[in-house]
Amino acid sequence: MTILEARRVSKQYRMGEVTVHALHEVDFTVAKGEFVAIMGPSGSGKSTLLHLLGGLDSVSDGEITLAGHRLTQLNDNQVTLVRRRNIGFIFQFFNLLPMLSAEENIALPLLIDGQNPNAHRERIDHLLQLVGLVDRRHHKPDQLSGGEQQRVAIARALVTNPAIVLADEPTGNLDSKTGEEILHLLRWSCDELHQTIVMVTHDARAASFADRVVFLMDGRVVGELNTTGDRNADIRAIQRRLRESEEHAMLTPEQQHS
Amino acid sequence: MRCLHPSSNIPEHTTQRMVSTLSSFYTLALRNLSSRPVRTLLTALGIMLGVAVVLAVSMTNDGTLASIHHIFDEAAGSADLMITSSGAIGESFTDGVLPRVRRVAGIQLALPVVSGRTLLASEADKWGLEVSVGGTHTANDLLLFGIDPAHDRQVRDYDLVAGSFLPAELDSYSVLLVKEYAEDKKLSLGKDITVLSATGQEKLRVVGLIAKSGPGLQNNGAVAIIPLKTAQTLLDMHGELTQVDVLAAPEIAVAPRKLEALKETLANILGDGYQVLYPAARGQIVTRMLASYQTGLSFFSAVALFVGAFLIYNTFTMTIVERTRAIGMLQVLGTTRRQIIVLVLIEAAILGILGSLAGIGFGVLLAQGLSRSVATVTNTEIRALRIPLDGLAWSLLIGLGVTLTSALLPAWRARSISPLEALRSYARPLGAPLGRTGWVWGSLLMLLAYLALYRIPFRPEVQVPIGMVSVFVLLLGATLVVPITIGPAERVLHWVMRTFYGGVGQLGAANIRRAWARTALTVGTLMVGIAMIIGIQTMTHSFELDINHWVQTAIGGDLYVRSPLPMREEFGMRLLSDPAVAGVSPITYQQVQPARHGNHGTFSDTILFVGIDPQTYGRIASFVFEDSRQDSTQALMELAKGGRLLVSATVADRYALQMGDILALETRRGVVQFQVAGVVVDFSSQGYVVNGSRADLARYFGERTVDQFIVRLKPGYDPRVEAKRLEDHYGKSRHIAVETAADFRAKVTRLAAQAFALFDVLGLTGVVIAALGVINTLLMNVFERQREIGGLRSLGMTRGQVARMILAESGAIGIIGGLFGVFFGLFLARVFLLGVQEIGGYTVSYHLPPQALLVSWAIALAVSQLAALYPAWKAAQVRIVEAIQHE
Repeated sequence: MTILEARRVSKQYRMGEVTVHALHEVDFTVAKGEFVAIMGPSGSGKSTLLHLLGGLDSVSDGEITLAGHRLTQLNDNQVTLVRRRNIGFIFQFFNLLPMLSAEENIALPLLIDGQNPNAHRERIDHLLQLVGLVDRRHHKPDQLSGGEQQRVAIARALVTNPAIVLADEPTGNLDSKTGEEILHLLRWSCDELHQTIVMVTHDARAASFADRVVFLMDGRVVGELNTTGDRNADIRAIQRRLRESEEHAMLTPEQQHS
Repeated sequence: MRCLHPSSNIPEHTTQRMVSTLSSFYTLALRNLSSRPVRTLLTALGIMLGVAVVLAVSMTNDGTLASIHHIFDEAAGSADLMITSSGAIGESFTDGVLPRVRRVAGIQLALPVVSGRTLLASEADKWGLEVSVGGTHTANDLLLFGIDPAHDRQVRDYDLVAGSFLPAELDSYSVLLVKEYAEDKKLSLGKDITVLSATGQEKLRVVGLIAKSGPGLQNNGAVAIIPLKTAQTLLDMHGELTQVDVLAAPEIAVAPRKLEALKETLANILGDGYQVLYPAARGQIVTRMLASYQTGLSFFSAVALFVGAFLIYNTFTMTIVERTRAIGMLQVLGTTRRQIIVLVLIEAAILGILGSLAGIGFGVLLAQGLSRSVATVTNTEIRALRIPLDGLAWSLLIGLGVTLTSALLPAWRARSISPLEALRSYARPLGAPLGRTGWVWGSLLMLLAYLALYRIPFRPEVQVPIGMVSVFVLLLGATLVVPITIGPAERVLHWVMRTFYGGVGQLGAANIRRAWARTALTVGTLMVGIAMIIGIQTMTHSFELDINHWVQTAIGGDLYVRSPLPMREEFGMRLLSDPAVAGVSPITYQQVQPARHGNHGTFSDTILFVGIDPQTYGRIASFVFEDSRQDSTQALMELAKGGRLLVSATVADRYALQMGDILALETRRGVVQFQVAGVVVDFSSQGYVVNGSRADLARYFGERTVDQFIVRLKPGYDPRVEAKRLEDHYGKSRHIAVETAADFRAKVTRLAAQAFALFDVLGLTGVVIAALGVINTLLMNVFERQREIGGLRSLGMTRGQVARMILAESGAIGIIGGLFGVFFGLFLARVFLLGVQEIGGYTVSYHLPPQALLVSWAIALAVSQLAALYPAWKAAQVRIVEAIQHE
């Protein structure tokens, strides 16, 4: 079952007098319970695509449907509500609220939705256990390590049992060991909780945790790769595809077509 | 793990959900406030100061007015109407009017009263004249209040605390005294007191003591209640009364229209020589004289609140910047834009309530001190200050309202923060309100204010409120213009700061351009505070100069000879025969009323008629004319013709008078039209003064006695020595007091300084609030630049250099704020002087105080440096490693 579908999505920005085409007629689908990685070099449009999928920005053209909601036909308030209940976000810089404890940060989406966190105590406790932070629940972000903060962010993203989790370079600000732990956690949530995940990354190792990798280049989808489960082989395959995509991008349009 | 969907089965817009959301936002707001305790405290302090000043001034003004009204109301007792002479205030009239009044249908009781002032014989040598905003008054006189003892208690409530009431006879020499007064003067029940009378001295037996309530409130308790005929004898007013108190029949007293009809009937029967008043009208006459002073206090207290509002706007704008990413994150998590506004406003509401509550507490304390100052300046005893529940509620509402209004624009701008901001690694600076075109709007606002103040001829009754609004619009416009000047100013300032702080000073000055919107806002706040000081200083300086000029010129002569008892002109001849005396001129003062018809405008004013002798006055003193081409000699010749007046600028303004116009006054002979022979500057009696001849005073008001002789000494005689000698020589026999002109002038200028000191305090409050704004800005700047400061430190900048950099930045803000403040302060000063003219009627020349400009600029600099000390210290403490990892 398709949980997320983007059809012929385009996005342009005006920067002064120049129009930048960040995305060009991108088609992208994600099935329920799938873990998809989006890869590409800087400026390829991967973060832009993630922003559009999450309703953080609006498309210039095309359609995005998430969990049955046509985002492109909703107003700002409606998109916000869809985002509140159907999307969990994980960011490179964690983005926890500094004056709230770990537990309170996890419960924040419930608070915003007008729900009493105490009524969901069991779920919050379970998530804390899931991310291994039960004994750090009352700590503020400045009392947690980077990895711990990201785990809090993951728990926050999962608390509303969203239709999809969007992760933007979730390991970009972590060391490799901690990053690996986070990736395992994401993989686990997909396998055990059947959580649908879309992750933007530039790291082949991170992408190897996904079921499928989509390659973006200059605002277009230039390829896809299904992983095999053999981590090292997948990493090599991803790096090769990435290199091929970059080399292809350096060709002239005529060379590309030939 | 069970998959619970937390949001299932709960409809979107239930009350439960909304209440829960609000409760969550309240928690978030509290957390936000407590995470920045210093900033929260500073902001709340700004609100507190503004609310406190507004409440204190309001309580003091109300207390003053209430005290005055209370005195008159209590003295009048349950009288429904009061009959007095329509000529001079306190002027007597024949008691033949009493039977005419008693014959009028609907009158239950008509009680005669005679009142006048005297002294205890034991205090005759301590008698003196004091000045206040309301005019001059004698320092220790005793009010004789003559009543009909048999019937007066039907109208007035005498709270007898010892002894007995007056016997029923109208001519017994018994007296009731107020207990506090008796204790103060060591007078006891059963003993005699000796008072000065027209014929010398008289003894009165103290038969009873009353509480300081009801009629005992008059003259601040220095009142002697005596039988009517006794009073007439002591005051030499045989067959005369000063007022008749009327008790209407019950069915008329409770019906306002019937009472009004009775009032009209009485006025028609009695004719032009009398006026029939409601007792409250007497209090209104006095309170009117204080109105302009109180209006001024209220205006400046409102300005203090305005500056506080700026601080709040400043703080919330900075808070939004600081939390840009957090706000973006909240939107990512599904907080709607409207909820973002609500979150910011909840924070503002909490601050507003806390600040207002603190302000109310501080305001009550401030009112105690303020009321003492105002009581001295206005010569009004303010009874225990009432803390009105409605006043407290209003203060809370005003504080909350101002905070919410000030936070509205930042809250609105917060809603426009995109969720993408959450994904940035740095916070983008928030632009200025209205963007870079704000200066256009600011210029338009300033132009609008200028037109309203100088060009558009509004109706007189709306000129003052429009003027006040225009001042606020002017300052708001100026604040919007400030941003465009930051860039050019910095280009000049960087070398100034380099000179004082070295190379880091240049860095500091350059920093003001980076968050230029925030810098501009802080400059604007400082500008408002400094502009208020300059405006007030210039206004008071101009006023004091004019008063001093008037005092030196118009208050002429060397000595003033006065007596608590009426003096005769013949005494002047005796003074003139003294070898030290070169000239003597008699003066008589009489409160009169303009005619109800025949003048431009109808006001219930009292005007001080100063009766002079044109022949002798010119040799001793002169007048200060509005039109400098006029001279005193010519004016005195006009007065000598009779039927002429020199009116003060205030009276001329109020009644739209010019040379040759007519001012009609109520006199004993009916309405008399006086021609205006000149317009003079005169600050006595709040400016409501006319100068005429004593001959006219005698002819039209029946007043022939002398209140004061102005004496000019021959050259070589010391005024102080001669004053003492004359007092010793004539004091005992004539009970005179002699004061040097120099001493009297000093009293007047001292009073002026006292009166204006209160305005200076209010102006300083604005600067204190502005200083809080500077601290807020710098702390914010330091926070934002943690990584940069860490980088500078890693390059070798010492802690001291970091601190100097912050001080330089603040110094740049102070210099710009000071310059703007001085410029607009000069403009404001003109506006304030216009306001003084409109409210008080005075025409004051604009005098620029050079020292005030320098002092204000120095204040701006000092404030900016003092306010920067803590932020500079914070910046110097930044740890390098943490700072460069700072997000």
